[in-house]
Amino acid sequence: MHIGRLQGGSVLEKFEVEVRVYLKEGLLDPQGRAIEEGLKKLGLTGVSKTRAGKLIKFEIEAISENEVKEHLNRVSNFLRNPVIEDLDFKIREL
Amino acid sequence: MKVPRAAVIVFPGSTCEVDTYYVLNELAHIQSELVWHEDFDPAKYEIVFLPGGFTYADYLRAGAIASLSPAVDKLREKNGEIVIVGICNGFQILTEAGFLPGALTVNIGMRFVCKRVRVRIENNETPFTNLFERGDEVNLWVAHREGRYILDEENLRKIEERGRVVLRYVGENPNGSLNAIAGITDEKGLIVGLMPHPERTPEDILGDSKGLLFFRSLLNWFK
Repeated sequence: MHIGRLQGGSVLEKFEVEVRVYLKEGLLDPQGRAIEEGLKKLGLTGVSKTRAGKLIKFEIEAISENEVKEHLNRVSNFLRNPVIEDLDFKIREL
Repeated sequence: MKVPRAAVIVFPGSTCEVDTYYVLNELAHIQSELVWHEDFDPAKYEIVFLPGGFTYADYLRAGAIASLSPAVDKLREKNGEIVIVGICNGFQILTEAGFLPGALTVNIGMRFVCKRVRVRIENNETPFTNLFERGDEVNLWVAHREGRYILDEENLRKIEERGRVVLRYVGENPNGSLNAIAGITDEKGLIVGLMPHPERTPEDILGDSKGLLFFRSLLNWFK
């Protein structure tokens, strides 16, 4: 088992965070549309609702997964623009 | 009459700061300085310009990284006491920082658009438009890839009702902005964000001098 770094009496564990950011549903996504055109040119049929987004990945030290979630909530409006984008994330303990 | 002083904030990746500074100093005769974003002292200025450009290479989203700059933090403390004009990337910084509502995202055609467009003055009571008549139309350059103005329906209706749309594209809408919005102001009417570049048409040698009226409006505002 991995033993984390000590800080102020608490054990810090390392987590890997993956944040997916994508345009809100209903908002026109010109990049997704261009990709869909490409897929059709390559012979794919029946393709629809193509959306393009971003993946932001980083590692962070924290006491718990819950603490990582708190950090993410605090910075979520920087990682995505809440007017136009939604996000979801995956947290994995390393 | 109070003599206003202006700061043109320079971020890594700003590109229109010298044009803006030139028009302010040489043509509008407003005493101005180029100020590095880490060295900005808001007590020294009545007017602050966030110029066009590609701050931090538009990484993450246009204006997103610059919106975390110390200059923006200081402007937040002075919000309501200082005139702020954001042109193009400056407008994007103002929306990202939450000074103005909405967001500016990729043009509907996915392409960088650089062309002269026709724009109507919808609100002539702002520091940056008060020498125009309401309904005046001017030709201005736009040059951007992320200029499509987006806002949720309810807030869009609100800003329209309260006359907070300052500029609107007439005829061609170059980026697909909702309601053809090219520029807006905040609730107090002291902050103006616009995608077109009035600093690019300030004198006849550049083909048109109508852009100068925006800058002269600033002087008029402080009379």
